[in-house]
Amino acid sequence: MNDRLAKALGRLKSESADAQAPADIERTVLAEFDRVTLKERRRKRSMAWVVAAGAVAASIAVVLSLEHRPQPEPPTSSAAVSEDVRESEQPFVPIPYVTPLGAYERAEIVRMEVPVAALIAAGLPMRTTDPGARAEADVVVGQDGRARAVRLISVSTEGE
Amino acid sequence: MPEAERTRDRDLLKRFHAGDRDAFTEIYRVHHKPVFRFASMMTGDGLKAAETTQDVFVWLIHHPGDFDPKRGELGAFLVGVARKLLKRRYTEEKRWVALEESGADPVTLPTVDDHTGDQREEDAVRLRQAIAALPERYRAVVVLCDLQEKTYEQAAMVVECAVGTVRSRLHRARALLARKLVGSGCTA
Repeated sequence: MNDRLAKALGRLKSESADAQAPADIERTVLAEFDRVTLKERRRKRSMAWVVAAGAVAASIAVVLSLEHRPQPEPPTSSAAVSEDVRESEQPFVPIPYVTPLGAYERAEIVRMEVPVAALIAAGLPMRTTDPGARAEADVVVGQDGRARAVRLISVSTEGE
Repeated sequence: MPEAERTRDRDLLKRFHAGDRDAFTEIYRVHHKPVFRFASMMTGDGLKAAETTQDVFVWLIHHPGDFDPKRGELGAFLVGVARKLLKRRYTEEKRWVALEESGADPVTLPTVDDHTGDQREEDAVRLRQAIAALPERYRAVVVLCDLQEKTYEQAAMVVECAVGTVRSRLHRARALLARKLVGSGCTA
């Protein structure tokens, strides 16, 4: 480097060595720091409130939904089972014009195939119009061998 | 930069991020002088230098996470911020030229007439003017390397270029300054 330039640079360097920003710059900068920090603290505080309020609202919603949850239906393994349940819930229909069972009499329930025509003749309400159809039914048979009541299980037409 | 100073800066930054006012005050007190001196040398104007220094630290307050300690030193980073702010300011000021100042020297530096006699003093004043008249890319490396004793690596971080580029710019800048000093008619 040029000697004269080096000396001039050295002088300039020593002149500026102690240069520093005016004191009011520090005050201004610190005031900005305080303002930003305060704003940040307020933001965090309000965020904490929002989160807390959200948590409370979520808890209330969970409690309410648990209280009003519909009861689960009993499980069913297959359609046939539910069909059986429905069948077993069918009431026995007494056969008209037959002496009812005495209180002391024993009776048996026998599952059998019965012609639909016989059931119609016995006065049971049947929806099928096929005279050859057969019905599976539980029949209450008294000690004397006479049928006293019938519970319909299913109806099958002749083609089935 | 000694490891102790780096450790100190890291600790101060961590506390500053946590909202510690004392840590920020310490950061300001440690680093504002180099930032101010850089801005002062770059602008030749104490008022602009003070404003730039303020802008740098206000910027730091609003962008606390922008400094990555792995990429360099905090001091060099802040001087780099000052340089960017000065460039932006210069670009904005270029759009507005006051009529009464349009023909005047843009930097408000003391002239030779303000000083008496001494040749070296004259050289220093002329050098100020010569530095202020340099293109920004040359001025920045002269201020950093020759007036603030930054290493080439530190200067490269500030001006965001390769170390080799800093060397070549500095060489070119010194040649321009030497020519201006000789051309001023003063004798060594």
